[in-house]
Amino acid sequence: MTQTELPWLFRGRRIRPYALAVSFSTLVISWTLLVSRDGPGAALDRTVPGFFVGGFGMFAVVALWIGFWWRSDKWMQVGLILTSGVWCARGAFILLDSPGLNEAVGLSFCWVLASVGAFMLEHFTGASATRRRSRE
Amino acid sequence: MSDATIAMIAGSVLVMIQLVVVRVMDWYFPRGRMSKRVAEQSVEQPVEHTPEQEDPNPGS
Repeated sequence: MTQTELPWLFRGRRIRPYALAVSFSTLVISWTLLVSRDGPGAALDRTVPGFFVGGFGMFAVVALWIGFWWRSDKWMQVGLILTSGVWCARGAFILLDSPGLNEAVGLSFCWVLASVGAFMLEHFTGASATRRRSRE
Repeated sequence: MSDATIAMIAGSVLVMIQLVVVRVMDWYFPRGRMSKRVAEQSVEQPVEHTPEQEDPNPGS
């Protein structure tokens, strides 16, 4: 079974490259939704759903960093599943607001695929799954 | 219902779908059974058929 971590340590903690990347990308869109409020798609600016999506995005970022710092697989999975929802919502926002595929929609779809895959990988083949199998 | 609300619901639905899929897969393919099946496939060997040998001394 594959693992989701690199064989290197940073301050005694395993590095998960995708989780690190998605945490920063989600931080960027959460910032644009909550602070700068000028993200792609007019539906995102200063709307209640936009604040919700941005808020969940920030929560997902915090969950991923907690999962990394406190070595918690559960928090890591929470963060990954939430990022998939945030990127799906963002992509749907932009698609409904400006009909037709564009770069922002395409990139959001790609991040959704990657987050869903990473969550599934983390749940079924991650370190916690390996520990559960070794106990059985 | 506004477009933004619909999009937010779409994100929530995606999260719930993933949770359901994970639950179903954990229930249908318990990790213990899955790992045993994988282990059995990796060590499976063909069964050798050997002819039965007749008793050389049937009366003793």
